Amino acid sequence: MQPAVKQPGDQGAGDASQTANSGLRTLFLTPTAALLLALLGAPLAIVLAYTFRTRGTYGGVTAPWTLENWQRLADSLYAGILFNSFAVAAVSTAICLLLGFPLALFISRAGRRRGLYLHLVILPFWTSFLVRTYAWMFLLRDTGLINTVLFKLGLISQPLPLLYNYGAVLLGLVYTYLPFMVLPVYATLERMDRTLLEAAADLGARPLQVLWRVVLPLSKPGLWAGSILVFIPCLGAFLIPDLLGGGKTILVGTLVQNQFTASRDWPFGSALSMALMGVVLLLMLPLTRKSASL
Amino acid sequence: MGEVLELRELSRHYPAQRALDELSLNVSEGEFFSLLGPSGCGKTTTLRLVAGLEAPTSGRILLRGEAIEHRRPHDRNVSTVFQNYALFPHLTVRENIEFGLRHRHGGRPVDADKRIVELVEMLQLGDKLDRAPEQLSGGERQRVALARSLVLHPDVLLLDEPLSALDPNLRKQVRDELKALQRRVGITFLFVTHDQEEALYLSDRIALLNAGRLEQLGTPQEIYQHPCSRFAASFLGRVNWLNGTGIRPEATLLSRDQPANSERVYDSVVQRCVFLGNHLHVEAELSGGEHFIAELPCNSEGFQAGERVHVWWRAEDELLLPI
Amino acid sequence: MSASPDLEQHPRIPGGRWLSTYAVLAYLFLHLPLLILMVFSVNASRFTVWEGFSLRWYAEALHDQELMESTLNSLIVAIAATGFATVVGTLCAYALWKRASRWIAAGLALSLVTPEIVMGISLLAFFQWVFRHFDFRLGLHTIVLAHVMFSVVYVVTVVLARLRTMDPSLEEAALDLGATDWQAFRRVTLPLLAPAIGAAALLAFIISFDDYVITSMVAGVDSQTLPMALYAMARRGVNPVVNAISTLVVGLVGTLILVSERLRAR
Repeated sequence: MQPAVKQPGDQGAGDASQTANSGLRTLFLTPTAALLLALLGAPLAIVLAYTFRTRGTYGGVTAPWTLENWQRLADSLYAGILFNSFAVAAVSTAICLLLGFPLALFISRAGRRRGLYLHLVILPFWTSFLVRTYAWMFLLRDTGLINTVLFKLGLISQPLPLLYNYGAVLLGLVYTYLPFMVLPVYATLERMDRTLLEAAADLGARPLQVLWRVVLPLSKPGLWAGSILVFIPCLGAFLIPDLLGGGKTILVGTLVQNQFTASRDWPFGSALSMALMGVVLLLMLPLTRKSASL
Repeated sequence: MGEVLELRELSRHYPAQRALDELSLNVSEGEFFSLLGPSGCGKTTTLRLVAGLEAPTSGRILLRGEAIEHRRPHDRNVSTVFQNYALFPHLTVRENIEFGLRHRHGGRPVDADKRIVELVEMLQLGDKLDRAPEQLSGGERQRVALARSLVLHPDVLLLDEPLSALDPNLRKQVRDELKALQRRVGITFLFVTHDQEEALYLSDRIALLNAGRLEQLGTPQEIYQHPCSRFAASFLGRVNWLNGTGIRPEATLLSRDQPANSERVYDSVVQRCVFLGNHLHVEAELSGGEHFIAELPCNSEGFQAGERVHVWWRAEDELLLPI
Repeated sequence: MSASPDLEQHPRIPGGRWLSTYAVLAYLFLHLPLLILMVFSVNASRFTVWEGFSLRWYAEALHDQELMESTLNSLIVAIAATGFATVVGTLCAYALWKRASRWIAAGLALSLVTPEIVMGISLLAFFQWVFRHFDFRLGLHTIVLAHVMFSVVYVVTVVLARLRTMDPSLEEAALDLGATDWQAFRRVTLPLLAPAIGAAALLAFIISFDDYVITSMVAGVDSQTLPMALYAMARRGVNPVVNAISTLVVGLVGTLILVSERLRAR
């Protein structure tokens, strides 16, 4: 997911490096290749194969081969959950767009302090995922900080049901994945030619018109990249719906986890996983085309 | 003088481009040999092929009679001064200079310390040895790069536009020092440049390259005075062209009166006359519309724009191009 | 974090003041939850009412046998996974810098976009399948393997970014001066990469130390890591000990991030 960068060996001289360290290159790639093949490729292949098997009596999989697991995805119960997952991911992405763009705009206009402001977005991005989700539980619970404060102020007599609903899940997702939106949008704003804005203003556009007619269209690549980067993890999210949504909001991530633990229906869990993977890969296509590979 | 380096029909083809096409030439022992040409002509490719940083598509490279085109870079007794010098930023000047000695085939030579002392003195680096490369000026960096390579006593020292990273004021001075250094150490220099003045000034012989092929090979004087093509004539300096005949500006003469003893006299109108210190620069348009430039001695009488004059030259000053 | 005076440099940007106000709110949204959690970690009361400063929850956390054991497990796993991922990822980045590889790049990208839960169950399925043929069980070693796999891409990205700012002629100069391929890598490239490798290692450590979803799938029954313990406690309900341990984790991770950013900027 790096911006396009020219490779040293790219310039029509793909074999220039034959003299420079080609033996080492193969040697150096081997561990990563082995790792990816054994612990990513093989496991995903196994799961793909399991989608066509039958559930074993005590979990696991057995013969015979079947298409039943894929057909079950169309059951109204599961289709509903899949639809809900899509909806939650889409709404989270939309909120991140609305919240992220102005923040990115602010950072790109912040002059010398850009670095600091950018770090303030990046910092939570790396900080413990679980702890940050727990922090919201602490705030939103019936006996949490928000309800306690409202109660003390006499504004409520019964605690508001803030936790364990779709609203809490959306909040958690937006809170966690907002940096994924801000960073790519900031990157495009940063690269934007300032003189374009001045030219637009010079040609008589009012500030809001400049924003709407020039800045926004020009930041489209960043907005797209950010949307995909937010949508994908939201779609497959497990921890946030699990902790903030409780048992009431089942999304596809939770469903998958359930099939492999409590329900012990691996083949169906596999089918769900592969369906999820399919959507993710489909969404990734435009990104891989635009940006150079690693 | 024996031959130290020989290239035989050396080619380097990329999928989209022939960077070098069947280049053959010999470089003699102790020679200052320049590869000259515009960017993309194959001069840097040639240097990298000799250094072993790229592999040739075909052809041979002989170093003291031995084929080296398949040897790894560290297995060739040549050394490169890179365009940006490529000094190791994490090592001091001394460590940079000693780098090659540590890794050389057959271990550190017995006279290593003597070599270092000599070069450090010759290149005036004595007080810089413990500095980091980033603390040095451009000229000092270049001298460290030279020392780092020369300490290995290479059969050929390869220099990739080593003056281009310096600012123009420094360039002329360093150019003089480079020439003096080459005489003093007696090592063969293979010098890559796109600057014809630099090449003329420094070289014993020049190979002029164009689009991957050898255009002309000769001493500076030969190439300047007897170019083999319009390209060669124009690349080495300015030329006035009239019906396929070329005349250098300094051989182009101007007079108000009809000059005697010459058949090459053309009526023309002065367009501009500028005093440039070491010469008088006059631009004139011939009656046929050709634009001519004359460089007259600086004590010549000036001309007015619009003035009618005669442009003329001596027959022996014409550049004769083979048809 | 207040309204930036630098905004005045761009008078034509609409609503600079509104934008600044919004930014303050956005940063509060991003940072306030954790700050509140940290404040309440030193609250004497068990409940969400401020009763005064106390470190009793920290003491309780440090005396909790289970928590300490899982912390130790997390450290062991993170250090081992970081070691492997850093070596493997650095070598890979170097090779990709020499010449891009479509397959490796695709594999690394896949490891980045695969939803954690999918990666978790597929590793579980894979290990179970392997264990049918070999006598192994799930445990810390399977956690380490999983962590190495998903953190390699971060190491590669960070190291490759540094390599791409590096002058390729430095290594050519080393070869030219008689160094072999290995010597050129060892003596020139590696020292210049050291800060980036350090930064990458810290990121790998953070990612490994922090992971819950994948870890919980491949951990087996008797190896618990800190995030697993925290998760279990969080699900059980109110517990100020979680606040305390969370604060410690955030402190550790935050420090590592800052060091890592410093190294990357070098």
